[in-house]
Amino acid sequence: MDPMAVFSVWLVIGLVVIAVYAWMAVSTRGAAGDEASYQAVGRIRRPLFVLMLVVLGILFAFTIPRTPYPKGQIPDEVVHAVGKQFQFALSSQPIRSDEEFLQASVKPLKIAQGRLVEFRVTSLDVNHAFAVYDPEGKLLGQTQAMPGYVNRLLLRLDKPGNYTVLCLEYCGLSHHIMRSGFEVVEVSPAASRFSELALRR
Amino acid sequence: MAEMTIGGAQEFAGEQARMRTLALVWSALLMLLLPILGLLGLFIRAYQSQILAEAAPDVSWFYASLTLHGLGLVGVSYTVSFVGMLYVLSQHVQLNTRVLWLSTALTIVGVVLLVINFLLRFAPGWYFLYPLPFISAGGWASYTADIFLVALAVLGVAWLLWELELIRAIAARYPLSQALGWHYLKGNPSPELPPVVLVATVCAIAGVIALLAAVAMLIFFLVHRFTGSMVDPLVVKNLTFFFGHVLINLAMYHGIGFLYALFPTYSGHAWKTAVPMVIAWNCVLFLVMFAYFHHLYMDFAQPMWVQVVGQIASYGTAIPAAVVTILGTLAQVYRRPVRWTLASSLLFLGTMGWAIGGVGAVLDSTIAINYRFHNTLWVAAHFHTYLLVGLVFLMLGFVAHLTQELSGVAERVGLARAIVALLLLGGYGFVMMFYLSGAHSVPRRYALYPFELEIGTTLAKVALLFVLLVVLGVLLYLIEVGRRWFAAYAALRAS
Repeated sequence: MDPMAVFSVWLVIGLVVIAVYAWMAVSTRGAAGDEASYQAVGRIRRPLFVLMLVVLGILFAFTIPRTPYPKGQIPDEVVHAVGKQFQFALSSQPIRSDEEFLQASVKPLKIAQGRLVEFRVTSLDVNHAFAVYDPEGKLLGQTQAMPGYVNRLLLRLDKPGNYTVLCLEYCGLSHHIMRSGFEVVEVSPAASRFSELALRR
Repeated sequence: MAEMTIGGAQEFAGEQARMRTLALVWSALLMLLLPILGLLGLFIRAYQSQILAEAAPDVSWFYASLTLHGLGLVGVSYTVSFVGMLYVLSQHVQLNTRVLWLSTALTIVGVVLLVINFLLRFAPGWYFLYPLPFISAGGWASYTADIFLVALAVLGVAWLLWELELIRAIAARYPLSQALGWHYLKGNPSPELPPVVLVATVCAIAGVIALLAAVAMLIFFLVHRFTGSMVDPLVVKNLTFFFGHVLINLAMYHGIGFLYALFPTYSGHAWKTAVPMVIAWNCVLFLVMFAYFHHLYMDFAQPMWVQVVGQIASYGTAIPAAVVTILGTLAQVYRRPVRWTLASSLLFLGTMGWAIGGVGAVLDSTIAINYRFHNTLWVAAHFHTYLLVGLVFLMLGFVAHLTQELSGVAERVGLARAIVALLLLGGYGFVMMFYLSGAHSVPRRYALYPFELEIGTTLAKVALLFVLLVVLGVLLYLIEVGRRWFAAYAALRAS
């Protein structure tokens, strides 16, 4: 769901609410206060209830299939992502010790364009959040990095370029500088076809 | 309309008189703490906007301010709205004000401990996500986590005490089924149930459950503290968000409780309990227990069905709010000779903030949307909408009403209008910058924004201009309502 589209929806509904409140406030000028007006608003209750039920029902039905949770897809590539105050380490190999964490945190990671990547995200200390931003600075997706748990985040990385990883869960005084990244490298059509065949085999 | 006024001779006149004093003290606390905690918010946005440049203090002050700003305002919202609700409730049930004073004293002790911790720059954020308070990477001294646990325990005892006192007082007059209005569902609206009793019952039950969850959470913290071994962070996270989510929702519901009783004194139309209201508040009691799951959508380790329940419950809580309270407020106003004062304007507009913030919250409680919005400034946007231009408006409306009722001081109409205009313009402009930042994926709780998200810095600068309008509005409010407060205090002492 595009964030700007969601913002537009919020803005439109918000302006409608403000307009209704303004109309109601204006209606009090010189009003006599008859019971019929009170009941007129009361009669909207049932249609409003049905309308909300329908709108929220449609939103529910439309969005539940689009939840980000893994649904049995087989990834093209697995990346292990580990958070530790105030760094992320990314590696195609499991990160099991502080030494491996240090090595992985300085080693640049490259991923081929168009791959479905499974990030296996965890933390070695406190809660962090692993949020991937595309080369244009748009938040693609995120999951929490929690000690003792591995959260699997699946992303298809179609756009070549430098991706940024930011921590979105407050984790201490240097939270705002906790970052990492990886590069998605362009793949020629021939190489892409070759890797597809290799995967099929 | 005699039954709608609060100050008249009633069954529980003695306790009501003591409640007036208590409400007046909490009004003063609101007028003291709201500006202080609000100025911390101003400092936070100033830091993020980088206008402080070289003068910016160490980043630890930023995060310590963020922690106290959040903790403090959630606490002020819960307590002041609770006392406001009790104040209007006190004409229907007999509350023991000694218990309420004890809770007040303990709350002040808890607040003092939190302020000490602020000065020691304890900064785990307002929801102090386990195990961060214990693992700060040198950010704060370990003993500050101990002070914090003591503060939590003191506040927990204080609030559990007055929630239990509320339950006792309601139970002394109404059986549970009546207090929850179930007799209305059987087609028998006798005895008539004042709406504030229904709301207070729902709030008290949910409040006790939330505080028991806080006790369980505290036990987990203590196990870590005394054994040094990690307890399950996902369990503690569930407990933390259950407690925090219910508590802040209750604050809003307390506000609705006194709205039901106070607004009719301006509209001239009694707000009575009816079947839709009973169904709505009983549904709220059930749904508010499960809505908190939306805070853990990005914890993919939670079972999928839990996340779906979270989305359903979050949507579910929006429906009673809209079709009963928001619509009820509009019905109170539509073509009625409403007496527009500072109090009635703020009460009315407070429900508008609740509605608009609620739309932002419903969108964010959609899992597929939360995936892009979780922990961005969209979150700060929607909760500042229903808190700053929602609940704070309700609380300021309550205090304006209370002080005028007790003092009889005439309102300065022009000043009242200026206050409302400044708070509206400043408040909505301020939250709009949060929404825009969220739509641009700007993270929340960042002292400084990374270069890719520089728009966050620009929007923080614009937000500052609107904050200044809010500051001016609050200042004028203090001038107008402050003089009423002193007159009300003098009147109470004289009586």
